[in-house]
Order: sequence, then structure tokens, then C-alpha cells
Amino acid sequence: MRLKVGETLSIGGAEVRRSEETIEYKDYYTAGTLIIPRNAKVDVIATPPLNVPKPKTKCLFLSLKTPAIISEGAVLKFYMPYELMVVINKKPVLALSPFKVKFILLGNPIEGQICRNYLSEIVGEPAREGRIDAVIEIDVVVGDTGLVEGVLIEDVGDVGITYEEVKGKLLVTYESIKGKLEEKVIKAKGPGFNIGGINHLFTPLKATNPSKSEISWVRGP
Amino acid sequence: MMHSGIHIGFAENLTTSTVTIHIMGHTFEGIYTYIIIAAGIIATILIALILRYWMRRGVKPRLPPHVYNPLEKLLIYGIVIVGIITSLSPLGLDLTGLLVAGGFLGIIVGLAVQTVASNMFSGIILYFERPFKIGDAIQIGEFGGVVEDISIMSLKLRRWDGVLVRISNSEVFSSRIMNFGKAVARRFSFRIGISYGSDIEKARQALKEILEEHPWVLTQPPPEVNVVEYGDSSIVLEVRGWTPSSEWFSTYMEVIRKAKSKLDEVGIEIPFPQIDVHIKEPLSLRT
Repeated sequence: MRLKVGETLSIGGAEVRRSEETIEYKDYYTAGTLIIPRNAKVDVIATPPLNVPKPKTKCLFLSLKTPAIISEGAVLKFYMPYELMVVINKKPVLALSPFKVKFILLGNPIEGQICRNYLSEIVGEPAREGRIDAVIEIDVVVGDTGLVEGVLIEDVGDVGITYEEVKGKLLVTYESIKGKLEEKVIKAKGPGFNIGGINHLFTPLKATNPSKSEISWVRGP
Repeated sequence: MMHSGIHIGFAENLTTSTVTIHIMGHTFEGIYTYIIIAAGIIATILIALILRYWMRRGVKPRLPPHVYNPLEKLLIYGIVIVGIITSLSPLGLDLTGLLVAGGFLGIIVGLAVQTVASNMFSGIILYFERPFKIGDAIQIGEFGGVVEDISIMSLKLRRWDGVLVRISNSEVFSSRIMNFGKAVARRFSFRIGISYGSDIEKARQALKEILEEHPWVLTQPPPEVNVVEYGDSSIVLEVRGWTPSSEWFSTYMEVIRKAKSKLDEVGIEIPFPQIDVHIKEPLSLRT
């Protein structure tokens, strides 16, 4: 999405303001100014949430606010975060997050896995107003009826994401993915940890069709 | 029989299989003895070569050059020397003196290179044990820092203040090693006192907010703020949070810095140490 001189893009905590020779940017974790060439082409694109505050992990764990019982063959939609990449003359220069960023340890501190963590929820019809998250759709392809407490996406960079500007709004699209229900120990046992934590979660398998979600997009000087 | 200066004569008693050989005017008895010696030396060399071949195929790929090369030389030369000395024994050479001299030399050299050998073997054991690798953040005794280099004799550690420290392997081997890089996540904790007049829940909530707002404080294991002590001058709270190991220091410093300003912000007092002095008898003023 092209940002013209004098325009400001603002989504959640992220803001990019373009003037003739500079761009000012900020999000929850960073703020600054960059001097840019006068005729620079400044684009802001949606990317999977991997870079803010800095690249640390490829996996994303969507914790569910409310666990749900689901059955085989269900199609579930979850809210999902994304990041905004500022691209100047086709060169990515910085990433900003409209969302507050948190991480989670899955497993124990020695052999476990650090994942990006986002508090999500299962949605029927995604809210059109008042939310800026994208939506990801997951087809449950295997498994019995079971409890879902979270979704683990091992490599969120593999999930396709596209975006387009429609009537002043950014349309962020995540590809639908297939997932299987499984149990996985994500909480370590022992002093200082939650005891007896077996969590039920999805491990998405592969992308299928695109799903779409609208993101509020504020333009203006 | 004479031919080209070589004369070979057979002894009377052939059952003993002894042969007298005259070569260029020199006489040697017991050709089988020499054959055995030659066979012994050849066998020694063959064994050494086979061992070297096996080591190069099986062991070399698993060890760094600075560990493998001296190990190979030590074993191969050791086998060749011992093999040759053993092979020469049928000549009737009195090796006692040689062995005694070798023994003394060994003691002297052993004493001289005791430290070197100790470091070397410690290095080999540490290599197989692998308590850390290059790039790991570790604490060895009083020294903490990042491992820059591991050699057969020593370890080079880049201290937190940037100074490079060389620590001998024997010292490393006998020290307590804490490896911060082995874990993907690490916990920080610190204590902070609030006045007895403060609202504990309000203080806990304020401190929890800092932990929940910080991106590197993990959501699981969950951060905690607990009352751990009713001290002389304050109620002591302990703040605990887990972070990715690589972000531990910066996160810890940031959280501990923000704790004071956050408590100030919500009106929680961090008291000075206080002593209430009670005087049994009233004081009288002298005028």
C-alpha cells in the first residue's frame, strides 16, 4: 500500500507518517525518524508476525481466551496478528506491530520452544468494526471431538498473507490452513511451573484457500 | 658356498634350524631371530597404520583438529616406539637400562609437563562432555562471559565487561560451570519492599502490569509477584518472570528500573530502613 507525502497510516499501536524527506514511525516498542530520498516510493505491507521487537522465533501460539469443544470436520476461525513492513524503494527497512507482542515458552526451559503468543478467540462471523486483527481459518481434518485450548503454527512465515486497499481500508488475508487436533505437553512440570499441564491444541498442516478479514485503516494528514 | 661376498653355512644339527650367514665378511647367527624382529617391526608399523586409518575415518570427523592431531601423534608414536623396542628384545639387548632411563626421563618430563598434560586431558574430557560451546554465555568460578574459543589447553572467555580471559582447561574442569546458553528460557527475580501502610494488592497489580506489558516476559511460565517476607521496615515482595535466555539481562534491568517508577506512579512507598526507639523513662531537658 503506497504512502504518499503528507499521509499518515495508523493501525493499532503502529503509526507511519510520511513527509517530503522523512518518515516518522512508532509502535509500542520503537519510535524514530528516517530520512528518505524525495522521490522515494514508500509502501507499507502486511507480513506475518515475526519481526517485532526483533526476530526470535518462527512459531506462533494462539492462546484461546475461551477453550472450546470441537468435533471432526469443523471449520474454525481465529483472530490472528500481523505486522506492518515499511518498504522504501522496494527495500524492507523496518517492521512495526499494531499489536502488543508477547512470547510463550512451550515445554521446559531446557528443551522447550519459545513462540510468539497471541491471545485469540474462536469467532463465528469476524467483527467488521472495532477490531484490527486478521482472521485465519482452520479446517479440522483429523481427530475426534476434543477440547481446543490453542493453535500452534510451527512456521508462521509459511502461512500465506496478502493485503489490498479497499475503500480506505486494508484488507488483510491469511490463507486458510488445515489442522489436526492433538494433545501436546506445553507446560513444564515442577517447582515454579503450572503443574500437570497438558494442553490441547491444533497443529495446522498446510494452506488451502484464502480467507479474508477487514482491518481498519486510517488515512489522513 | 660363496657368492658375491656372501657365505651361508648350515650347522651340523639341522633340527635346531640354526643357520650361519656370512655377509661381506660379517657373520650373523639365527636368521629366524632377525626374521621375527623384522616381522615384529613390520607388524608394529602395520598396526600403527591401520589404527591411524581407523582413527582418521572414525574419530577425526568427530574431534576438532587441535584435539585430534596431538591425540593421533601420541597414540601412533607410542605404539611404534613400544612395538620396536619389544620387537628388538630377541636380540638379547638389555633394555633394562633403557627402560630405567626412560622411566626417569618419564618422571622428569611428567613433572615438567604435569600442568600441560592435565590441561590437555581436561580439554579432551571437556570436549566429550560438552558442558558449553563457542558463543554460550557461561559462568566459571568468578568469571562470567561468552565463550570465544576452546582449545586443547585453555578456554578463552569474553567477560561481560569485554575483557578477554584465558582459563586453563584444568581449572575449568574442576570449577562449577553455569551455562546460561543451554536453556531457551531463564528466570529473573528480585525483591522490593513496600511500606506497611501500603496496599499489598495494589502494589502486586502494579508490578504485574510491568511484567505483562514487557514483550520479553513470557506469558508461560506465568510471571509472579508474591509477598515473601514481613521485614523490619517493609513488606517484601518478590517479582519473578521468565524470559528468552538471550533477553534475560536487558529484560531484568528494564523491569527492575520500571518497578520503582511504577510504584511511585500508583502511590506505593518504598520505605527506608527504620527503627522505632522506645524510651522507658521520660527525658528531662537541661537548661
